[in-house]
Amino acid sequence: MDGAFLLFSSIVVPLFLGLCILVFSKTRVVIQQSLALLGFSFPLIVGIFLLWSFQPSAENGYDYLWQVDLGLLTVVGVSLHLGLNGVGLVLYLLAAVVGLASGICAVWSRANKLAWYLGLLLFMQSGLLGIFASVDLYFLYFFHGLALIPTFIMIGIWGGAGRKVAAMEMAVYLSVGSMLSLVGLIALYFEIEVRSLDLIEIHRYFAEHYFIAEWRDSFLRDNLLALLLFGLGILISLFPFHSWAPRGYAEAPCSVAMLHAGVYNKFGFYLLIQVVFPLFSDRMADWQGVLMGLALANIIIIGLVALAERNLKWLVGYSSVMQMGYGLLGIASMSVLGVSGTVLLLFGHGLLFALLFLLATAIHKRCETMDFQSLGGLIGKMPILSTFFIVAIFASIGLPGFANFWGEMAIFFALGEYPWILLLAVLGMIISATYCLRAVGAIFYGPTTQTLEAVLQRKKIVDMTLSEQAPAVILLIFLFLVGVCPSLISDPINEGVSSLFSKLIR
Amino acid sequence: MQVLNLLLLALFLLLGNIFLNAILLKQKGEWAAWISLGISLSLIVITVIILVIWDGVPLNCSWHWFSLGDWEVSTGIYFNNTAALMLSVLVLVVSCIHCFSLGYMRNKSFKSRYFAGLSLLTLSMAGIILSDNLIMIFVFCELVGFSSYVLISHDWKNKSANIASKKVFIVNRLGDLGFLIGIIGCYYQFGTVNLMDLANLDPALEKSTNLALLLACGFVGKSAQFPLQVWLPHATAGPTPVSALIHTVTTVAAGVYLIVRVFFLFPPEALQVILWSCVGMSVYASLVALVERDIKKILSYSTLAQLGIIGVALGLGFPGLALFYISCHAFFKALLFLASGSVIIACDQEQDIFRMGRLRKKMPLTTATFLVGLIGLCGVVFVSIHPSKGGILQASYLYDRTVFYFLLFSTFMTSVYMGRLFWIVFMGSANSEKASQACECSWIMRIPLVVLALFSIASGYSHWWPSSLSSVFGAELDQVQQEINSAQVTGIFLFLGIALWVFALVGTRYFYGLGVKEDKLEQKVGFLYRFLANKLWIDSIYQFYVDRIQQRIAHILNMLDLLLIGGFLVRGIAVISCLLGMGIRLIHSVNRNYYVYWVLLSMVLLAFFTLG
Repeated sequence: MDGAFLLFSSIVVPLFLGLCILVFSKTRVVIQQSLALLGFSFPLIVGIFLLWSFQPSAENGYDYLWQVDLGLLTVVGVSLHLGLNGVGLVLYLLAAVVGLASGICAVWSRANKLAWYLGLLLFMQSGLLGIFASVDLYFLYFFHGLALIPTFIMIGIWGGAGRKVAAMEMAVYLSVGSMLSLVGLIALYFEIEVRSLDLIEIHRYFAEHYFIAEWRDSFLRDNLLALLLFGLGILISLFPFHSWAPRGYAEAPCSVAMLHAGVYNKFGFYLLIQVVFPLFSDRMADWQGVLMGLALANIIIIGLVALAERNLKWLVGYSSVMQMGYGLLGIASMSVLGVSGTVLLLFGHGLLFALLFLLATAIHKRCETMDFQSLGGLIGKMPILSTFFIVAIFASIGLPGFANFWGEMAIFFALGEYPWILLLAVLGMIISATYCLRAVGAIFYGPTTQTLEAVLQRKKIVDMTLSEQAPAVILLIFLFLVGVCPSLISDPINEGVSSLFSKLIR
Repeated sequence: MQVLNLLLLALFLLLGNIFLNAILLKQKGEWAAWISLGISLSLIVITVIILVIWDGVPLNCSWHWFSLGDWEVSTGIYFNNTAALMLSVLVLVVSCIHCFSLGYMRNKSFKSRYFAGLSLLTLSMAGIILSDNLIMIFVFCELVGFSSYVLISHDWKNKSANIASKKVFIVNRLGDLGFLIGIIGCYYQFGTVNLMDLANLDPALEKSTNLALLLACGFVGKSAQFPLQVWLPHATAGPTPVSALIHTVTTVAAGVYLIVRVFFLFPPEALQVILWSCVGMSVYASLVALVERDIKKILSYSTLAQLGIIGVALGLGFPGLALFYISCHAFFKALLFLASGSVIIACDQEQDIFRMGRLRKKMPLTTATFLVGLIGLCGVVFVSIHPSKGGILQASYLYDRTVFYFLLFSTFMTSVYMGRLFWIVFMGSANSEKASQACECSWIMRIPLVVLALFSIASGYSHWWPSSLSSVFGAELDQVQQEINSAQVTGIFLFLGIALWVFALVGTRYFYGLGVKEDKLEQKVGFLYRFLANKLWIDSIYQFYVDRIQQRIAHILNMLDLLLIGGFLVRGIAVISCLLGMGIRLIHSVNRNYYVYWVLLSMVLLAFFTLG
């Protein structure tokens, strides 16, 4: 079958099914549930097929290109242009996997107004898939909005006790971040002569004009880069603009936290890798020190902050922010290996933190608390859940056999030219091991407190239910597959990164 | 090719066993135990077949795994005589420990997890032994850390096991990450991490001391040398068979082995550093062992001291002797640990040696086998493993006299603390209710004791080893022997070899007495006892750092994060935008009066700008 059509339909199908569920929200729940499941599983099937049949063109590194002129092409140079290059494909697959996991989680979540919950989540899923499949920057932002707006609504309605504050803070931060980067991209649009927001066109233009002197020294270009880095820095929860992340994740309902921490916060990195870095690779060198410093701040400072954290969900949130530091460090190493390692790490990070939020919510549901002091001895009460959690947390501190390990290793190898940075980055691994093991020790080992004992008896849910195990198993399988056989996604990553850089770094 | 297939078969058997135990046999612990034992025994068979059909030619086979950018990761097997030696010892000791675990784990929960952990630890050690490049060795080092963590924290209700498992993992990882930086340095300096390629590098290429020391971090972490020695005594908080495994053929042996694998990268300066730090460790640990009260901790400090001696062999440039001693040490130390495990079970989890006593009558077989282990550890001449430890002593005599005196002292102290342990635990009268009710362990736990005792006795005779294995250390041993003969000091060594342990054992017999209840050293020379019991404050310094410095900084940063960034900055921006909003709302206010003011204000501003 035609891959390009499948790609298009994998984005439209969740959107359409989401609309159906909203329109027929009075029908039986079973119908809604099965529609939603269809909407979540279809992209994954398509994603696996696309990964299997991926053959990028030598000219621009894209495959499955699909262009529809919506009447704006001649006027402003905007069209619905879908397609995947190596980097996009990997993140698209990530969105599909995490989407299915969070979808299964949502379908059996017994949320109020389930139809609305599922419908909005399907919109979000469609938007996330669209982000990584768009070649046109206008539609990339369109899909970004489609993913972002349901997030605020869902946190505000279905979130935890502090949901209002969390949703507001998140909305302010993320809108500011994406607006700033959008302004940067629009300025870029006016700066270049092709008058197009099509990434392939922009890249082609840059490949031709890269060495023209006036381009290299233009004042606008410096400030453009600063604007883009600032905006995207907020989106990737870079220190000191990270404070929305732990609070937002802690308050968000399970599925939203999974999709947001797993997929949405890769958006900033995606733009950095796909747009900013290739276009501004010479200017990036001026920023290298700053970026490395901020990335190390993310790793060390946030790591230490996490060390003092006493709440499991916040800990997972901080840990997610901290790992983002490694991703940025890979990009800041300004090497093909570092950027490829970042993409690999993003894939692992997405799966892993979706898994960790899923499990943390499962613990929260059973114990009604996330505080270390009132938890303890859970491994005796719920061995399956505990085993999943311990495996996941070890994967997050870089246990070989899971995808994150290879991402981190690649980034460390890319940092070989900067021994002191490498040393500090490696020290971060100790910090993360320390806080993760502290959490495991406090939650799963040791005696169970009496209040917890009472809560568990009242609740009568003992171990993980099937609807919680299924998404966890899906996520773990992909983590493990990529950890054992990284060439599954390292081949497309190589294709993608080399096609991005071959024309520009000469 | 057949050898290669057999090695792969062994690795996949272990891997299969992990999955089988962890996923399928959750409810059937008994099955998991027996299947694991069967697999570990089949590993012995495979290893024997390999030794028989292997022609002694080093075997190297590499597969491309994946590449990222220009960074290529491959996996492969490099099987030479050092790998064969370590593998043989590994499978033997692991089988004994599996057998002992069957009895030890009876009536305990989570059996399948325990045996899956044992298999994972074995697999990761086998991986370190066989890997042909440094990245894969690092991967398996990490897995060793993980499986140690799982095994030590097996008894999850036990608070000390919980703390110990954390410490073991983190300290191990500290060493591993130094090793990782070394590997990355290697990759940048030589462009390869493959062991064969590294060995075939141009010998004129200068060896970097920094690089060698970074690689040695792996040894320092895994083999618990200064300053990362703190984890090893804590590791005894886990189940006793696990301690036996960690203290002999897996974790601590991994450190020594990985130095041997990259020994050609070590310049003399780096070896000198290793030499002196290990001399210090061997003296320090043997002194601390003298004041410990916990039977497993005494053995653990003794392992530290022996690892120091092994490190001295490395530092003197005798990797073969180091491997020889660690192989022999594996047999008798595993024996001592298992025997002490048998004692602990008999005394109902009592580990304090001053609450035991008179176990000789109750547990004759355990006592006899413990004695065999003790003879091995003390390095008694003629009887047992004397050549392995003696070889290192003789080498140090030949190459560095100061080191020799230190080692001599450490060897003497070994006999002293082992004598103290033996007289107090097995002789005299029972010192507690539990000890008086002790009885011999079950037959399934006796088998490994006997097997290990036999191997402890036999392993000292270097010519009894198969030639493919003894080629690792044979040449170095002969060289040292010849030089000792030509220096005409054989007599001195014979005298020392007898006098040291006889004097130590007899001395402790009369100093401590049989089966006493209190430490005589504490009563008679209190200041010395208290000084040694402080362990040079190393543990306290670490504790101080973690509790007072690291945790304080973390708390302060956490507060700042919540207050300043989360609270002040974000709220500050919120307040400003709120004020702005209020101001702007005035423009759109319904009250007509405000419009007048706005018009006035704008006219003033307009006038100001146009005129001014």
